Order: sequence, then structure tokens, then C-alpha cells
Amino acid sequence: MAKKAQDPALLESGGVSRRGFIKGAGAVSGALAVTSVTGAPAAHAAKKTVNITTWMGFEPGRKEAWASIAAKFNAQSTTTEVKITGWPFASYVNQVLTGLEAGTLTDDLIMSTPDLAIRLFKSGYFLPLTEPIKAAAVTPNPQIHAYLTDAAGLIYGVSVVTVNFGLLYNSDLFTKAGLKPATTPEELLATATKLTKKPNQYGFWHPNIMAEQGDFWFNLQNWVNMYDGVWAVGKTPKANSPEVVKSLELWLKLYNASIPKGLNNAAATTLAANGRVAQGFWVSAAVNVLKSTNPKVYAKLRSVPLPHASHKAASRVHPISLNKLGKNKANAVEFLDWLFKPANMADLTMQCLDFIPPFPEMNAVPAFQKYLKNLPWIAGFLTPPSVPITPMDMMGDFITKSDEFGTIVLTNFQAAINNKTTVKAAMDKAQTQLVALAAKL
Amino acid sequence: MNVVIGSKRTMLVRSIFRYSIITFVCLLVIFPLYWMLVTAIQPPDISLQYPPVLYPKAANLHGFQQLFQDNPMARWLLNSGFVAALTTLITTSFSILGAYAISWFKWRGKFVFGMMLLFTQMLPEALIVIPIYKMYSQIHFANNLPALSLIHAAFVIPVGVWILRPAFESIPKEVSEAAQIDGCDYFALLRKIIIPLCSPAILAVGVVAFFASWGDYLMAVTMISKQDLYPASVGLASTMSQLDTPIQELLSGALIYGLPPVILYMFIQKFIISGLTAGAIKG
Amino acid sequence: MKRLASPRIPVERTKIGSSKHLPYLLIVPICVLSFVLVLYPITQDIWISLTDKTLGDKIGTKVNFVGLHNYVGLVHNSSYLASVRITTLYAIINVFCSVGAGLGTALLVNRRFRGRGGVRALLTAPWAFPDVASVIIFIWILNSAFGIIGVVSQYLPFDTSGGWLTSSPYAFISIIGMSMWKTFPFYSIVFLSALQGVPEDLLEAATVDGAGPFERFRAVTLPSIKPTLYLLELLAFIFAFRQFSMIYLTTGGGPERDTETLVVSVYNTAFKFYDYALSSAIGVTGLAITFLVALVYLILQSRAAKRDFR
Repeated sequence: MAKKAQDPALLESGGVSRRGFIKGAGAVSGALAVTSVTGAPAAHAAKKTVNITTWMGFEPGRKEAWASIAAKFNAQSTTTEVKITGWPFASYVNQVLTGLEAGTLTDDLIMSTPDLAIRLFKSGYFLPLTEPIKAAAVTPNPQIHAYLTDAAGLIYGVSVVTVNFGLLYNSDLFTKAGLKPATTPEELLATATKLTKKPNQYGFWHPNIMAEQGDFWFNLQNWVNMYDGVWAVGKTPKANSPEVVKSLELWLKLYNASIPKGLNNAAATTLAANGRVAQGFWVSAAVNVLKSTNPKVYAKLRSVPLPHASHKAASRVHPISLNKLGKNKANAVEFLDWLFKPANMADLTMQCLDFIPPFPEMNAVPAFQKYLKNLPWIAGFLTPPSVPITPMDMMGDFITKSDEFGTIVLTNFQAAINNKTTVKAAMDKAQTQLVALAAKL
Repeated sequence: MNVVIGSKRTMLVRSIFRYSIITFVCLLVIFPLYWMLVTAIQPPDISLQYPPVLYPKAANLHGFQQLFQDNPMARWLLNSGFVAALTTLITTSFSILGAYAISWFKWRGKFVFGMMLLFTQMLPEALIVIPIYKMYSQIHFANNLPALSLIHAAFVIPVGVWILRPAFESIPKEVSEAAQIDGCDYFALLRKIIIPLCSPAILAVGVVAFFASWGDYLMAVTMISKQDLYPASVGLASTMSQLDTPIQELLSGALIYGLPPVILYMFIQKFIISGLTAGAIKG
Repeated sequence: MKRLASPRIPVERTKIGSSKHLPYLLIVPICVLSFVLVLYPITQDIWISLTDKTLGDKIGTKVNFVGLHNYVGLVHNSSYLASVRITTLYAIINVFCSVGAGLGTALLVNRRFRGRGGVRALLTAPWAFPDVASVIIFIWILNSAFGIIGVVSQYLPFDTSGGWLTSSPYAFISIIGMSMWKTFPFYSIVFLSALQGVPEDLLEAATVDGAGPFERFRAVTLPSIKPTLYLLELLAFIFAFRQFSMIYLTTGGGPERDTETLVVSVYNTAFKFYDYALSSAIGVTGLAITFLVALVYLILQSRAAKRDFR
């Protein structure tokens, strides 16, 4: 676990200080007398607190990045204090949806995954970001933000993290085995198989457990790009189309040959950080985790575009939005005005080890240009030849019900994983259930 | 105590057999806990070695150190302790009253009351966690630790009444009559005679309530969404899904969180067993 | 202590119990708690199950009353039927195996031997060990890349390479194993103290009459521990039926819904499919099962009580 910066915002988000500990004890004993414990901070009386609900506070690397951005903002604002709150990724979508439904999630700023963002946008939980976009004088990239733009052209979320998939590999293991990273699906299977020496070393990593369904699904979602498939077109699911079936068959071969089975993400990351995983289709977020967990392995990481003809890779846009149920909207806007300034956004992006700018103005920031030149592992993620597409392009109208879609696909796919049936038969069954789901769109 | 017919040889064989079974069962039971301890005190690179080593090759306390450094673990434990203590308090006092009513008085509706308790006790909380959550968020009871212990108490009280009832009933008639002659009213009888005489059973109720609350995950994860209000169960589960939690830290967490109830239980296991047996025999 | 443990026929408390209002006052706190936190939520659950409520609807979406639509759907819902089957199987195996293993251990340990106190204390540890902590241990032990069982089982004659928590039927076996580990030592302790009540003289008499160990168990031991046996079977059933966190946190109900018991299904339907109404309908059927079991138990118990007074 990486060096801990000793700044107060970080201690808020993840660590614990003696002061925090005593404060906690006080709150608990206070709760004996008062029926309601809200945990509202007593300090910063003059400043209004704006909570940012995100899962970033739980990811190594990014946690530090967000804490430092928050501290930087807090230091210069006299009216607003931002705080990072939220839940780990695995339970994030659930928590946000139930919290909004029950009216208990009143934090002003909410970060979302692409699927969650569109669901909340369509349900009317977001407010347009016209003011901060204007204040920062930026023009959000329409390709990334199309799905959060309404008919009038108002934008309801600006990406703070856009990640895409690349084939990330441990160059050390490849060199030792005398192999080169794959450029076709068949080569991928071959290299992964050659680099597997179970249980010491695994040739490939892909999430595969139902207890962490969210990760399993967003990774598998991207997988159909291997043979140029999509999951749905409009309201028509394509789960049993030849492209999807062929992609999943390849996945299954890889799974049996080279993927550590039944590992949770934490254990797999540990495995990778110990140099025992050769490669994976990772989003750049994973790089940051590996960097913080094991700098030695980080130094060996390299990337190439996804190994198939089209080089299509899902880009995942994670926007920040204004919550309609928020309490301190003016203060939240003040933070966004600041955050959207190209220099600040570039700072956040660089600290997060991300590289896709939400608006072209960021490309002009000199530090950012320099940063891009100096990242050894970045080649495979950058366009071209990597072709970014969004989950919306793969999911059609089902994007608002992506979780349900994923549950159906994964549940049926597992019959094939367990060798009870063929991939085709499993996907035929999924297709029938997905057609039923289409009725609810 | 036993009349054993047979030669010394067969006796020896039997006792060897018995000891080996006992050892086997004990190993089975203790192994996961042993493995937790080994992993918690061992540097992760050794734990992750293949093939695994059966005993700790090196030991350090980094796991514990990191656990408290990376997470508000102390606070989570305090939260758990607070909720469990409050649950214990509510459960014991409410159960004493309820058991008193059931075992010492004749009244209409006793059967219905008993039925309600039995039903509540069997009810899986997961079936109604969503409506409870909706109600709690409407009345602003979500993210509130005392409110959480109310839920815990509601689901353990039936067990409490069920443990106390036979103990209360077993108090000899003569004792209560004597007390009455001495001029004890109902509450004095409860306070001066029943509670002291049944203290082991009451203690058992307290411990059962404490465990139920300390161990609860479902209610807590649904009702509490603020990180600094997490009880340890929810806090630990959240570190489980964090990408960077080293295995040593995770198992240190399991150890610290799991140990208090085990130790507590070992100290008072005799009381619990007799309390539960009292319940067991009358059902 | 011993005295409290011994059963007594309840004394008629008419004299003391003559107060008319006191018992009602005594149960007020419990009733308030139960009404607010158990009965009211149940009515809400029933109400939602009759609507088409989903989670994450558009703000201000109207909830429609759909009558028994959700229930009618359940009859043909294969995953619902599967979860009923899984719950039943899980509960039955728990009732037989955990209680059986508990009884077996108790019979073995009942003899005097050195270190008996220590063994007893040891055997209580898993029961007191909280679910989430157990989950952490078992995920670690069972994990296929470096968990000790995961690694060792590669040498077993059957193929567990799909992972103990991620492939069928091993995931189901794993959750059974976990719940047995947690409960059977506790059951053995309870049996142990029940065995203290087995009349020593009867056992001796049986031995003198030439009865073997099995005959002695059937004729003397079993009848006197029967109430405990029934009770623990009920406990084991309740435990299995209620078990949520150990299943949810290890398998999430997977693979392929093979470990999705009724309670996990309620949760998954609400939070993975966001279908509140369907989830409530499943929950209500679970409530009905609970109610039925409680009723059967009461009937059995009142029969047993009649027998006792014969």
C-alpha cells in the first residue's frame, strides 16, 4: 500500500488519525444521548460542505489523487469545503440507487459509471452543468458526452475519468518466454496458454465471479469487440448473434487455459502485483492500482491495442453530475467552476494516471502534453489505432438496464462455463430472457 | 462412571480411537482459525507462495498496523461495540418483562403473543429488509446507530424470551409465596427474587443479543451508508472489495473483529449452555 | 444452575397472576418494537408485491396496482422455483448433517478424557465467530490460486479447477461446508449438556443386560435427549433458512444461481434487477413458509406436551 500523504482530506477519506479516532469515539458516546447521529462535521463553520459521492476514495492511487485535488480546492476557497464520500465500486450502484430512491442521498455531486449515469439522467436526478461549463470556458467533447446531452443541447454530466481498454502486459514475463504481445484473438489464446504455469503464473486475467458481478460484466461487455459484435441494436438484443457467441467461446477457452478461476479482484490484483499475471484487457484504472501496490511491476507494464482487426475498445466515461436532491448547489457549482478549468482537470487526470481529456482545451496544458510523452505503458491505449467506442454503442436501448442485461447474460453464460451446455445454447436462453426484458424498456 | 466390559487391550484400542476422532474434529474446527492467524501475522509474499507453508515462516504485525492506518477500523469497532451494547441492553430488559408476563401470569392473548414471537424468531430478516429501509429513510432513521440496534433487538428478543421463560418458570412456588408473604409486589418479586435467581439465563440472553448484533451484516449494510458510521462487519466487507487490501490486512481484520465474541463466549460458555439447555428442555 | 436446568411442571400462578393489566403492560415494549419493525414492514411488503414498483424509476413515476400478477408469474419463474429447491436442499442438509455431526461429536466427547474442558471451549469458537469474518477466511482458503484448499484439491480425483466458490456443484458444497463448520460444534455442545441428563443407572442396567452401544443409544440415550434433538433440528432449519451474509458475500448466489436461496433471491431481485415488486412477492412466499413451519412446530410441540403429561 502506497505511501500515505499526511494531508487532512486524505484522512477524511480513507485513513484514520488520532483526532479522527477521538472524534469518532465522541460521536458514538454522544449518540447515547441523542437519537440521531448524522456525522455532520462541526468544524469549518464558515464554509459549506459539498460532498462528492464516488468510489474513488476506495481505489489506491485515485484515492490520493482525489484527496489532493480536494485539498487544493479547499485551500483556495473561502466559502466551500469539498469532501470525498461514497462506497467501494462493488456496491456503488446499489447504494446510489437506493439512496436516491429513499431520498437519503443528498450529496451535491455524484460520480457515476456510464450505465448508472444514463439511468440517473433519464430518471431526472441530474441538473444541467451549463454554468460551470461556461465559467471554465470549455467545450466538452461531444463524442464522450452525447449520451448525457438533452434535446436542447444541455449537458448533464462532464467526464472526470474516461478510461478505455488496452492489452496491458508484464513485459518481463513476455521477454523471458521470448513472446510478443498478440495482435489477433488466436495469438492471444496462444500467448496466454504459453505463459500459464498454474498455479504459479497465469497467462491472462479477467474477472469471473458473481460476487463481483459489476466487474465481471463491464469487462465482458467489452469482450464482444473481439469479433466486432454488439450486445444489442436498439431494442433488439444480440446475445446469440454469431459474433457474440464466437467472442464468448474464445473467452471460455482463455478461461480454461489461463485465467485464475474464482479469484476476487483484490486477490487477482495482488497476484498481478507479484508479477504472476502476464496480461489482461485492463482499463487504465488498473495501472494506477498496480503502481501503488507494487512499483516494481509497474515499471514492467506495457500495452498494445486490443488484439483484433478493428481495434475497437470500450471507453468508459465516468461523469460528475449535480444531484437534484443536493443541499448546497451553489457551492457545488463553485467547485465545478474550479474543477473544469483545463489546468485543474489536467492535474486530476494526471494524478489519476488517466489520459483522455473530457474537453480539447486540456490538450493545451503544457504539463499534460509532457505527461503523455513520458508514460511508458500508454501506447496501446492511445488512439490510433485503438478505436474508442462507448457502452452505448454496444448496448443499444438496453443501456438504461445494463445491470439487468448483465445479470441475464452472466447467469446463463455460467452454464457454459460449468460445461453444462454450449455457449450457443446458453446465449440462446439468455436471448429469450433479454427479449422479455426489452418489453420493460 | 462407566462399566466397561472387555480386556485392557480393547479399552486401549477404544480410547486411541476416541482420541483420534476428537483430534480430527478439533483440527477440522480449528484449522480455518489457525490459517487466519498464520496469514494475519505473516508477510503476504510468504502467504502467496506456492506450495503453501503450513506454519508461519516469519511474523510481523504490519497487517494490523495497515488495517488501522488505511481504514477507520477503530471507529468501526467502536460503532459495533456501541450498537451491540445497546442491543444487549434493550433485548435483556424487554425480554425479562416479556418472559415475566408469559411465565407468571394468566392472560388472554398469551397464545397470540407467543405465536408472534415464534414467527419473528423464524423470520429471515432479508425478507423484510427493504420495507424496513424505506420506513427508516422516511423517518430519517437510516444512518443512525441506535436505530440500527432497535432492529437488531426486535429480531433477538424472541430468542431472549424463549431462553428466559423456562428459567423463570423453574423458580419454586414456595419461594414466590414466601416473598409475597413478606409483602413483595410484582416488581419487587421480579427484581429481588426472579432476576437474581435467573441471572445465568439473563446473562445468556445478553450474550446472544451481543453476538447477534455484533455479527449482523445485512441490516447494517442496508441501513448505514456513511463510512464513519459503519459497524465493523460492514467496514470489513467494504475492505474486502477494495482492490488494494493486502491479504494480511484483510485477515488481520477478520481476526480483530472475530476475536472479541469468541473470547467473551469462552469465558461464559457454561452459563450460556445451561441457559440454553433450560430453554432446550422446555422448548 | 443444575436446578434451573431441570424441567419442572410450571406452577399455576393464579394467585400472583391475578392482576388484570400488568401482563399487558409488561409486553408493551416488545409489542411496539414488533409492530413497527416486523408487522408493519410485512404489510408494506405485501402491498408492494401487489404493485409494479421498480427501483430507479423516473422521478414521479406512478406505481400501479397489478393484483396478483407478480405471484402468477412466480409459478412459471424457473429461477424462483430453483431457489425454492435450493433453499429446501440447503435446509435439509443442514438439519441432518450439522445436527448429526453435532450429536456424533457429543457422544464421542461425552466420556471423560484429558483436556475435555479445552476441547469444549475450542468447539464453541466457530459459533461465536461472526459471519463476515468467517467469509473472509473461507474466501481466502478456498481461492483457487493460493488458497490452501484450492491448491490442495488440485490433487483430488475430481475436477475442482473451476474454483470452490465459482463452479457447480462445488459452490453449493462450499456453502454447506461453511455452515456446518459454523454450527455443528455448537450443536455438539448443546447435546453434550443434554447428555449429562441421561440417567447413568439406566445405562449401566442396559450394559449389564448385555445391550451393545447402539442398543444402549437407541433405548436409553435417544429418548432422554429427544427434546434437545428436536430443538436443534428446528434451530438448524431456522439457521439455514435465514442465512444471508455467508452466501451473499461468498458466491453472490452464483454460479448460475446455484446457491441462490430464497433470501438471497429476494435481495438479488431487488438490487440486481431493481424489481421491488417481484422481490416483495418472493419475500411474501418466504414469509408464508416461515409461518407454516412455525405452525407445524407449535402443533408438534403441543402433542409432545400432551405426551409428557400422560
